[in-house]
Amino acid sequence: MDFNAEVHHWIREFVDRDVRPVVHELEARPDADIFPWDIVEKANAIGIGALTLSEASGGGGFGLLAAAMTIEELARGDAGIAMTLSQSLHGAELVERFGSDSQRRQVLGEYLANSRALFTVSADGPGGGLSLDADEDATSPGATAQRIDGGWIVNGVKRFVLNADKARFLVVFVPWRGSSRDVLTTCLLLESGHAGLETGPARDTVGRRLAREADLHFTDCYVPDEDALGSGDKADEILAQALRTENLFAAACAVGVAAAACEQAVAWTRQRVQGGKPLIEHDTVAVSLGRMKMQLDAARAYLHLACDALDHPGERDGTLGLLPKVLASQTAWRVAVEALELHGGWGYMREVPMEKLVRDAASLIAWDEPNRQLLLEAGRLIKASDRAVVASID
Amino acid sequence: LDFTLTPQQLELQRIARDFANHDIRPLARRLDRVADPAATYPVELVRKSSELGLRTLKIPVEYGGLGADCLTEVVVLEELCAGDLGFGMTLQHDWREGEILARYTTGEQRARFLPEFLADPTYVTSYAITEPDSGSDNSLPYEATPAAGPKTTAELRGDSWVINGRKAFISNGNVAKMVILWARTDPAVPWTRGISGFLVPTDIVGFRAGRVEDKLGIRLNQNVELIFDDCRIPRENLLGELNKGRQLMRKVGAGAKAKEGPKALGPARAAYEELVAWTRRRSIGGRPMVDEQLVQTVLSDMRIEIEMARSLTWRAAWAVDNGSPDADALEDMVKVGASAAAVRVVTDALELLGAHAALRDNPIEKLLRDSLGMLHAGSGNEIARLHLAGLLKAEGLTMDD
Repeated sequence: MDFNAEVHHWIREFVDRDVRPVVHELEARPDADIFPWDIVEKANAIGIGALTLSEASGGGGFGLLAAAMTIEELARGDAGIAMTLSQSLHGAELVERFGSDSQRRQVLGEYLANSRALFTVSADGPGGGLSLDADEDATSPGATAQRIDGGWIVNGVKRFVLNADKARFLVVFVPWRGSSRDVLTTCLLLESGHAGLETGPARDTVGRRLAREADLHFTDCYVPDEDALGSGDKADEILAQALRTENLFAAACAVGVAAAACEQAVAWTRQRVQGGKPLIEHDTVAVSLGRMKMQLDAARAYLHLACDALDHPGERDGTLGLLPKVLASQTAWRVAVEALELHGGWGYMREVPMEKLVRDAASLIAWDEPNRQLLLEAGRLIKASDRAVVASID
Repeated sequence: LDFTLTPQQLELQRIARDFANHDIRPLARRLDRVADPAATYPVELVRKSSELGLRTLKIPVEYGGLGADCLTEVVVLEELCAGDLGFGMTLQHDWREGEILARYTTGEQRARFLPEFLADPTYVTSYAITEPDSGSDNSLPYEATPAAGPKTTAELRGDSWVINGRKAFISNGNVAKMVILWARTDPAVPWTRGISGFLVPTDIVGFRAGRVEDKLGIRLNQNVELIFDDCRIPRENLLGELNKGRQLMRKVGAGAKAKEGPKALGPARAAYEELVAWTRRRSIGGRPMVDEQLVQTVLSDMRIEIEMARSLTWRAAWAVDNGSPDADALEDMVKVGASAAAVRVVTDALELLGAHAALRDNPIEKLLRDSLGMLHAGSGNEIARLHLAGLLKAEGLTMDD
């Protein structure tokens, strides 16, 4: 089945009907504990959570490109909702691809049956560079695993984890030191309530406030080998895929916010009259709208190029897993700020659904790996590559 | 060319900086988080600024103020706004409207209103022109139809002006004791030829403050709807000449756009200082972040933006103080340049800090929200560009002296 106009259309309908009308009031509440279970249940009830699972598993059989388009539509409604559901699309796909038969049966079975069964995927980068969490706080070091007979003992903290205490299933990547003292990675698939695993308080964030973000605290947390995802030598491959997917899904959220900001700017400038005519009829405003659309379309095209490449087998340009997020998040921010300017003072008021998009865009620049880290990693890939730096499109 | 500040300017700068560090910033971080937008007014900061002499900065020396010039204002205002932009804006109104009460009133009006302004340490003021449907039309006066521009009217009936209408987004509107109001006194002509200024004490019948806007940032400064419903003020409260409000606005507004500079610089500088502290405190792989190339270039970029904006701001303020013919144009450049620089600075901070910057506990988060307000403060930047273009065109667009 193609991710055709029909599927796209019903996701848009869902967003317009069940997301947009309620998120503005919901996310404005000062309390950080405003998790939108109602919307999550409705989204899963109509099958959004199953889109990336294979048809054999009862899913839609769609790849990254379709997932990105879905997440963009969700983020047009609300970036937080999009981030929440993107974790499930991602986690379910990792379990289907790398899980054992029993993990697939049990976890995916419950996931498809229970509309509240969310995933989280906690995949930190390899550290170093500008990954700011690295040495954040000596009193709460990042989580590490220790190999013991038949399993793992995990201690420490995973920071900024989406869906943390709301997730039924947690895919967690944890570094450990092998006998060679090299830093290796293990990938664990945990259920909520796992002994030795607790979640910290919800983080209060500037934007995408409907996404839950908290820390995971591990205290002598024992994880048997059968709860690892993929055999030991697969962990690096899973991590690489997870990081790539995280970045592309973050990019999709950003494209959705940019699209929403463009729509809002057009609606406002059609309606608001200054200088004797609607703003949209002023040349400088028209140029602004053109510039915003250009940036939106460029960011979306780059994202789709990357997703399409990764959906097909073959040699890939690794920068495609990094750079679309930089462009999309910068675009969302620029477009949102330009849309804010077009609103004048009105855009700054919470009554008008503009300032929320600026806050959401700020959160997307800040989500996941900092942009400079992604650029740095891309530069290192370019350096290490023996291919021409300027990729050609066949 | 001399950028040396006078001993008095340096002393005021130091006083304002200490005030910002010790009093403004800690209170502002708390009040910024208060959900009710009407419950964030920092009256204690206003009182303290009176004790420090800062509230009456612009009052002429003969009336007991400091008689500060525009350059002194921008130097002090940057310090206050580095503490909190919203509070700086609140106090800035006392500067402008206090100066109006002292310099642009009749002797009788001055005797009636100035003593209370000077004696009450919590006396704050408002300046009301903006209405729901007229924002940019006031900044870039749109004159093609009498229907454009402010709609609030003042009609002389007997010995009273009767005011009707609504003003929008008025700073300090719910706490001001005096509103400098601009209302149409001849609705049959374009607003620029039929508007007048009025002194409206806020304890008067027929006036009330309406909704307090819930805003993205600058939350210590309230933007309030003002409602005039057959509000009667004495005939003697007309400010300046009848129907000559536009000319008076330009006179009292000299230097106003130059002060958009320090308002943008305040949060930008605070963001820079936060980032310097953060990158010194944190390390990556055992190395202080501040030693990383990628951090260093960002800090340099931030500093360049700040210094360029400050230099232009000081030059514009100097031009205002010296009656230089290019003052108006330089002020427009400050309005656009400094606000855009501030947004670039906080964007840099956001990109560098990543997820931490989005947390409401992080000072950068507030500075980000506050500085975005500078894009529309005073006027939209696009409006200021068009206004500037008009001035440049009038002088032939050349850079010859």
